[in-house]
Amino acid sequence: EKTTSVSKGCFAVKSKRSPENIKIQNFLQKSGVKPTQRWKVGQNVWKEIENSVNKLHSEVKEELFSSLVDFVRNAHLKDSTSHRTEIPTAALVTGVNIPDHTEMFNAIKVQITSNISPYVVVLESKHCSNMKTMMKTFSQHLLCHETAKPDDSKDELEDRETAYLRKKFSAVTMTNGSKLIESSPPKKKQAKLEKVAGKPIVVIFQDLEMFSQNILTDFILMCSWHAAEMPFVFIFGIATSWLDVSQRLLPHYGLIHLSVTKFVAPSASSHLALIIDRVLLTPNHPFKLSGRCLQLILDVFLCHDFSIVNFLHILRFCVLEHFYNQPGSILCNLSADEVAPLVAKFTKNELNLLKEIPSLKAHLLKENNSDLSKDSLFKREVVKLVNQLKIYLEIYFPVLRCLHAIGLQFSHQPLGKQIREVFCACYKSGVENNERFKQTLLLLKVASKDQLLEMLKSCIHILSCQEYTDNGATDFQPSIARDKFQDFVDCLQSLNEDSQSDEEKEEDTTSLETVKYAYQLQEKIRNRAKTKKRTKMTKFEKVQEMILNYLKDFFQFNLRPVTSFPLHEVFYFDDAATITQHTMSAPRLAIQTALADPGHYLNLEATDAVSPEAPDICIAYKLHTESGSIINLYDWMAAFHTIVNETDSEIDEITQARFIRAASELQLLGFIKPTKRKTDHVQRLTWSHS
Amino acid sequence: IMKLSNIPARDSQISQLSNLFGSKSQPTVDSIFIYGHTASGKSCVLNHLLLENDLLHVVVNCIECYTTPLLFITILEALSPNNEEKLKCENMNDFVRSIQRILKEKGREETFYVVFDKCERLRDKEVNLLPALVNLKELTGVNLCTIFVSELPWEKFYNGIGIRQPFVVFFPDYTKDELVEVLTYLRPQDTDFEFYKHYVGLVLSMFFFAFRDLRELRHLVEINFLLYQQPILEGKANVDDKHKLWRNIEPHLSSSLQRLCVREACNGHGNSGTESGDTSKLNGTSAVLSTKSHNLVELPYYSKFLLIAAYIASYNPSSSDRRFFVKHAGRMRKTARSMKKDDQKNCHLRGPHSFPLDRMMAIFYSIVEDAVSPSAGLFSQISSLVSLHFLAQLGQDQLDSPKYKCIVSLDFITTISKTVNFEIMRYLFDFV
Repeated sequence: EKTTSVSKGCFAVKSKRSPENIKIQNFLQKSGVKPTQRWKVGQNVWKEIENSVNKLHSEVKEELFSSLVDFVRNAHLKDSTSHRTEIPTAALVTGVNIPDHTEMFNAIKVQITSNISPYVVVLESKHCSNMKTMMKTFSQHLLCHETAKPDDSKDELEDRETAYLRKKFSAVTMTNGSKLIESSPPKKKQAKLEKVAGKPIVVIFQDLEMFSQNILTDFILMCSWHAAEMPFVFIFGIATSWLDVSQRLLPHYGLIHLSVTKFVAPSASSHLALIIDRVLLTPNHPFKLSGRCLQLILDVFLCHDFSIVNFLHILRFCVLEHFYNQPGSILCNLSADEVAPLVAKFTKNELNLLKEIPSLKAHLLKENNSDLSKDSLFKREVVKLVNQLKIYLEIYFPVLRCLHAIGLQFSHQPLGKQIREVFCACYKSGVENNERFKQTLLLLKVASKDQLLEMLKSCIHILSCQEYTDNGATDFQPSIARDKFQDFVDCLQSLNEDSQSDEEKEEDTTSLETVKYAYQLQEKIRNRAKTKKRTKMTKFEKVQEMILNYLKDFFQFNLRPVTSFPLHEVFYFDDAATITQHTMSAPRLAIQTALADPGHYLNLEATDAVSPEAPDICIAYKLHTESGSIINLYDWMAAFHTIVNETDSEIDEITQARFIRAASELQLLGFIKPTKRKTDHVQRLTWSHS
Repeated sequence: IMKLSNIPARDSQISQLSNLFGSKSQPTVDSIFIYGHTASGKSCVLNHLLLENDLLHVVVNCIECYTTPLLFITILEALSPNNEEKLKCENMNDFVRSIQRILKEKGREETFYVVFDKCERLRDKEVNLLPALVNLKELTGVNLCTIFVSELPWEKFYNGIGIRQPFVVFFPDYTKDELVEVLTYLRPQDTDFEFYKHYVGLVLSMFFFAFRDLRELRHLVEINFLLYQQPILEGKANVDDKHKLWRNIEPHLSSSLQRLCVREACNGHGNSGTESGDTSKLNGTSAVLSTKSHNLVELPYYSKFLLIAAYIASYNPSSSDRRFFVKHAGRMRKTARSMKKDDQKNCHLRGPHSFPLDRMMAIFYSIVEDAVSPSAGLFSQISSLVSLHFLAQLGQDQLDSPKYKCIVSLDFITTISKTVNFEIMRYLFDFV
C-alpha cells in the first residue's frame, strides 16, 4: 500500500492472498491414489484416535479433578465456623512433564469455573517477574471474566468502567481488587451480590518452582491480609516435591498463612501406558505403528520429556505422514464391504502405484502368476489381501494380550511388564525364533497347576471381550481357542478330583513274593519304579504338555509377523527415519552439515576439498576446524585469501571484508568468540577433533 | 470515654494506647511506633481500638503498596470513598496538599489516624519517605496521627538522615499464663472453659520451651484437640479422667513436636495422627489421595544422566576428569603433590562449583551407555532441569559459554543414580 515516507523505513504489508495459500488442496500431492479422499480418511482416523485419547484423558484425571473441585468447594465452608485466617491451599504435585501442564491447568480452570466459581486466576511465573506485573495479570484475569459475561455488552456504563479499570491496571493493589469484586455486582442486581459473595477466588500458580521467593511471599502475605473479606483458595502446581519447594520458596512467616493439602496427579508414564494399551494396541483403530516406530516415539517420551502432548503430536504427525505418502492408505479405514467397490473404481495408473508397494511387489513376484497382471484379477487379489489382513489384525491384539497375561504370571516377566514390550518383541519376526518367547515356554513347562489355571482363565477372559468375524479357517480361531482353553481348565480342575482315585488304581498287582532270584527282584523293583514315574508324569504333565503344545501353535499361528503379509503397509506406518528427521531435531548437527558440506542443502555435489566457489562462511568454517582452541585472526585470513583468490596477490580490501563478515557470522552462530587472552586471536567454542 | 476491648492479656497496652488517643477530637502525639514480636497482638489491639471507638482512620498494608504513589492513593481513596474521579498523587508534595484539601472539605475536627502496617517495608522506598510520614502532622498542619506497626525495634529504622523519634509502644511476648489465657479465649464454640484450659496447659507444657509463636501453637492446639477429645466421645474416658487423657494425647503431641516446622508438608497425606484430624477438618473430603509419599521425583531417562553428569561436574575438580572418564588412562603416579591433593578431598564441604556446559556434556556422553544424538530435545532438558531448580544457571553469557551449578543433595543424586544402575560413588572425587 502506501509506503511513501520522508525517512527510510520498514513497512509491513499484509498479503492479500494469504488465506488461499493455506488451503489444504495446495498441499496435497497432485498425483497418487485419490489424494483428497485419502486426506479425508486420514482426518477421520486421526479424529477417532483423538476422541479415544481424550476420553482416556478425562477418565484418568477424573479422580483428581473431582477431589480438587471438592476441595475448592469445601475450602470455605469450614471457615464459616471457625475464624481462621489461613488460606486453604492445594499443593498439586504434577510431575516433571512441563509441556503438559498448561493443558492440565486449563482443564482445572474450566472445571472450577463451570462448577464453583467464576473467579479463577491462572498465574504463570513468566508473567510474575515483579509485583506490578503480577498484580496486573491477577486483576486482568479477574476482570476478564467480568467482561466475558454476556449482559455486560449491553451495559455501556459498565464498559466505561472496565476501560477505566483497565487503564488503572498499571498499578493495582489487593485492596482495589477486593473493592472491584465487592463493588461491581451491586450496580447490577441485588440478587447477583449474594451469589458472588460466597464464591471463592481461586488462584492457580502454574509453575511454583519458577516464582521468585520474595514475590510469592509478598503475594501470600497480601492475600492473607485480605483473607477475611476475600475467600481465597490457592492451587500450587509443583513439578518436583512439596517438601523441597516449600523449604526453598516459602519462609516460615509465609507458610504459616497457608493450610496445605497435598494432591498427586497421575504420573505421565502410567498415563502413556494406558494410551498405548487402550488406543494404539487395539483392533479398534485401523492405523498402526510398526514396532520400530513405536519404540522410537516411546524412547522420545521416556528418555526426553515425559510429555503426553509431545507424544500425541508425534503420533499425529505419523498419521498425517502415513496418509500423505502411502498410496495404499486409502484402503485403511474401510469395512469389509466397502473395499471391493472402492478398488473397482481404481484407474490403471492408481493400480500401478499400488503395485509399487514393496510387500505387494514381492508377493506378485513370488506368485509369478500371469493372471494377476490382468486388472480385474489384480483388483480381486487386492480385496482378498486387505480382508485377510483385517481378520488377522482383529485377532492379533487379543492374542497378544493373552501372551502378555501369561508372561505376567512369572515373577521376572520374560516378555516384559508392559504390553508394548511384548508387541515390540513380537513385531519383527513373530514368536517363533524369539528368545523371550522360548524362555516363556520353558517357564511354562515348570509352571504349577494353579499358575496354569490362572493363565488360562485370564486368556479366556481376554478372548471373550470382543466379537470376531467368523472365517472358520483354522484350529486357532479365537472362538475355538476359547472353548479349547475352557476344556483345559476343566481338565486341570478334574485332575484334582481324580488324582486320588488314580493313585489307587496304580497299585501294582504283582507282588514281590513270587520272585525267586535276587536279580529278578532287582529288575522288578526297577520296573516298578519306572512305571510309577511314567504314570505319575502322565497325570498332570500330560495335560500340561497338551496345553503347552496348543499354546505354542496358537501363538505361532496368530502372531505371525505382519511383515509377512502383502499390503501390510496399508495399516502399518514404518518410516522411522522420517520421524527422527521431523521430530528429533538436531540444530547443531544441521548447522554443522550446512557449513561442512554446503552442497547438502544447495543440492550440489559433495566435495571434500575446500573449493573457492563455496560460500565464504563455509570456507572460514573449514579453515577454523583445522586450528586449535585459539585462532590467530591474521593467519586465518591469509589462509582464507589463498583459497578465495587463486592468484598470488596481496590481500585486498574486498577479501578482508568478506573474511570479516564470515568470521562475525561464525561468531553469531557460536563457533568462535573474542578472547582477551591473546591479542588478535579468537577462541574456538567447539571441540577440536584433532 | 474509651471502651475497653475484650482482648485477653493486653490490658496495659490497651490502656496506654487509649490514653494516647484520648477522645475523638483531642490531638494525639504526632506519631506512634508500635513494635513487638510476631503474633503478639499489635494489629489486633490497634484495629479493635480504632473500630470500637469509631475513630476516623485508614489502615495501609505496606507490602501491598509496592510503589510510593500507590501508598498515597490508597490512603486518599480510603479517606474519600465516594470520590468518582481518579486521584492522582505522584509525590509527597501532592499527598500533603491532597490530604489538607480532603480533610478541609470534610470539615471534621476529629483526629485522623493513618496506620502503616508492616512498616519495615517503607525503608526500601525513597529515603525521605519515612521521615516525612513521621512528621506528617507538622507538614500538613492537620489534626492527624501516623501509627507505624512493625516487628522490628525503632533502632532498625535509622537510615543515616535525621528522623524524628515517634512515641514507642512495645508489645512484649506473651508469658506462659497469658498464652493459656489467649488460647483458651480462642477455643472452639461449645467447649467447656475449664476442660479446654487444662488441655491448653498440657500442650503448652510440651511446646513452650521449643516454640512460642501463637499462630503455630494455635494450629497445634486445634489439630490435636480432636484427638484429645476422642476417648471422651468414644465413651472410654470421662472429662475428669485427666491422667488417661494425657496418656492418650502424649504420643501425638511428641510426634507433632518432632515435625514442628514442616507441619504443612504433612498436612495432606501425613501419618495417622494429623491425617484423621485433617480429614475431619475438611468435612470428610476425599482430598487425601491414597498415594504414598512421592518424595522421589520421576525424571526422564536422559535427564537423570544429565543431572548426574552435572553433579559430578559440580563436585569433582576438573583436573580429575581424566582419571574418571578417559579409558586406559593408566595408573596415576603417586607424587607428593597428588598425595597432598588427596588430602584436600573436601569438595562436598565447600559446596558445588560452577562448570561450563561443554564439560557437563562431555561427562554425560561418557557415562551414558548408548549413543545419544545431540538433539534439541536433549538440550531443552537442561533448561527444564534449571526450571525445576535442580541446576542453577550462572552468569550472563548464555549464548557462548553458559555456566551451571548443580544444586541437588547427595542423597537425592544417590537415589536417582540407583534407579539407572549407575554407581555414582565410584565417580566422586571425595569418595574414591
